Amino acid sequence: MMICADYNATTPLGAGAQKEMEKVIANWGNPSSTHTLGRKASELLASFRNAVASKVSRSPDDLVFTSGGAESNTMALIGSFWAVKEKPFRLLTSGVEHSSVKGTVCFLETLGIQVQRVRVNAMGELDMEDFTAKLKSFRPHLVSLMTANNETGVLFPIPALARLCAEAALPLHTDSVQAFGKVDPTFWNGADMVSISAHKIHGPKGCGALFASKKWPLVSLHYGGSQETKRRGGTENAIGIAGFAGACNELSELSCWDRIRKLRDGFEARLRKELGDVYFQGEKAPRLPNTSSVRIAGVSADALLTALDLDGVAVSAGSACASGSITPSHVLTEMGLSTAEARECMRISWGRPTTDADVDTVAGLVISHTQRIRARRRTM
Amino acid sequence: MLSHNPLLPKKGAKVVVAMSGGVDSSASAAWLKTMGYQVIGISLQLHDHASKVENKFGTCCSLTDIGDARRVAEKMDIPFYVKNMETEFNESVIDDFVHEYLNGRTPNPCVRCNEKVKFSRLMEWSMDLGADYLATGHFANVRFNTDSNEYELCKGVDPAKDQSYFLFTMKQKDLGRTLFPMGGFEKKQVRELARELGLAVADKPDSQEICFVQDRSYKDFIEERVPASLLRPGLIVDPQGRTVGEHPGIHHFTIGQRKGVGVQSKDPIYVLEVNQERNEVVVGPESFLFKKSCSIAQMNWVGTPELDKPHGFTAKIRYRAKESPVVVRPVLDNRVEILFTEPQRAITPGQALVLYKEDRLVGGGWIETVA
Repeated sequence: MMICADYNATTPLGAGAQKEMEKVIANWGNPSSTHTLGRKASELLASFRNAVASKVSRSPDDLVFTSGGAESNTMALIGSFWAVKEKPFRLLTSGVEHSSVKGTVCFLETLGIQVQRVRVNAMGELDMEDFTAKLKSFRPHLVSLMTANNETGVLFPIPALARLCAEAALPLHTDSVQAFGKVDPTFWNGADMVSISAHKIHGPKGCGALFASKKWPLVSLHYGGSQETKRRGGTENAIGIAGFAGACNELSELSCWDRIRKLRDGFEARLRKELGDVYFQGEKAPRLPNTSSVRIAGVSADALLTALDLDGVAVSAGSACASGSITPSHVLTEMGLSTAEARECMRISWGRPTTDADVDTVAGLVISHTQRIRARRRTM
Repeated sequence: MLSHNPLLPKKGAKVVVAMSGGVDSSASAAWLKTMGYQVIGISLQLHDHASKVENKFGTCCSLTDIGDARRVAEKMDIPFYVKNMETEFNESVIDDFVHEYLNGRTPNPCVRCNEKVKFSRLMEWSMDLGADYLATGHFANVRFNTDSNEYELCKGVDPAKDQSYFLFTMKQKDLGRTLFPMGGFEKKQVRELARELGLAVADKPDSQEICFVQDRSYKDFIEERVPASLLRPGLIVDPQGRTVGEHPGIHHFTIGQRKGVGVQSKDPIYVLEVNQERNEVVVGPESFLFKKSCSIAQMNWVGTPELDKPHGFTAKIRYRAKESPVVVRPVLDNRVEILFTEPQRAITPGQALVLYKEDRLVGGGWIETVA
């Protein structure tokens, strides 16, 4: 028995993705070749590009296929850094970004960029006053703020941010990896650069995209070919892109997430009722419909996670990328949690395959393990 | 009445096995699995593998060792987790190690690790998971005495490999939840068992040194962690107090040490005492190393204290020492005075003194002063 309550980490490959991937196996030419073999592959690639672009109502010309969300983020940041002539490069971001953004920013700092980070409140919401002030005084060359937080699900107000950046004539990049497929794209499509990823929407791992309006040039990080309109040289990951397109084709109506939202809310209510002394980070902020950042006071997430895994339930302690390290989640500490409190946080994220029974079972197990651990503490 | 192996867990019991990647703990995990228990393998991550000093750490519990443990777990179809206990290890083992040397004592970090990390934090975590037992690959045994109604900690059957010494801080409640699956085997049988079960680590050499200082000297290790102002040079003196040389820092010395003392003499001379207060090292002839009594602190009795019958005990003043008959006298609190029948060579403050009655480990404590 394996119940996944960690869909923010990844999702199973859908039938739609597999169907398109098989087409590439049959049409295996190199899309850059001029002969018929290559042309057929090129046509297929173009159809995939259209399929993905149409899901976000953007021009296929603005789409660069990458190896995933992390690379899309890196490309937006480093590509912008190299493209801007004025030095030092100034970046406005937040302290709760995904580690692929955080890590790239740290690297760029060693190259001498200036960074300012907008504050978030205890609910994980962006401090808009702080943002507006910093936008005005710092005048960054690029703003990078995520759409939906991968650990808490909290949404940043991208429409408002996009408007303010447009007024200031500054580009906005947003990491929409977790939001794509769960939230209406009009919410985050006002940004100039958008990162998305296939494996969060039942596509294959190893494939993502960056939408980047040509208005804001990016220096390529991959040379040797003119693929992706010279923005990313190298033979395309045709099979990954196919899967991505197939997954996009199967993106269902967003109303399917209403069901998940109800399950998520019910899950939180039940835990609160039966356990007490349990907290959900970011619950009062606008959030993704599927994510709970759960803190059960006095119980280390580590023990609970392992106990759940032994029962066949997959959950995570925050970000998949950060597991195994002793540093507590930077997202949670930015929101004001202490190290000890951060260690008590688990991330539970439901997906389209989640059933009522799944949620019920997981809630029951979290409750029973917690009660057992609390009982032990009392006798110690 | 003693019952042999009364502690074979009940059918289907859940056992967390601490796996270092070595053959003993690997065989323990594998053997328990074949016996039908629900085994959960865990490796402790005690060092920061991401940091640049990775290659300076020894082979125990390094990334490759965790990899070895993981492969054994995969082979035996055992769920496997890596538990990060760097902070606890740094606080309870490494800091203690450094402080002891700064105080002119010679520490035993392996005992501290068992006491403060394995059988406390890891034990609690295992119980939180709902496990019934924590198992390790130590060569030791737990028995239950139905007359005294107490658990007993006993030596492993292989006298050359017995590791009960390192476990002297265990208490009754720990013993009731601990398994030492390899305690009844000889080392060569453990390797045979590992081979039979097809474990890749069957012929892996044992780790010999302290796990966090294998490839370099402990002096370098200490110097990296302590401001130079605390490691001051001082005088080397003879037993009469006359200066015979200078030393670069008391952390370079341990009692009984002969090499690296740096004093010219026609007869061999040895470190007799490391005096932190005066920052002095006392040296002298070998005969001065033999003493018959010492006091120990933080005495732990594994079962009911046995102070009404002070005779019949043997003691080891270090892991590799031969057991020697002693008389035990209480002093105050948990302090005890130990009187040896035979003079002992190089009784060292900071080391553990462990008491046995035949193959039963009765208790132990930390050597404070030597008379």
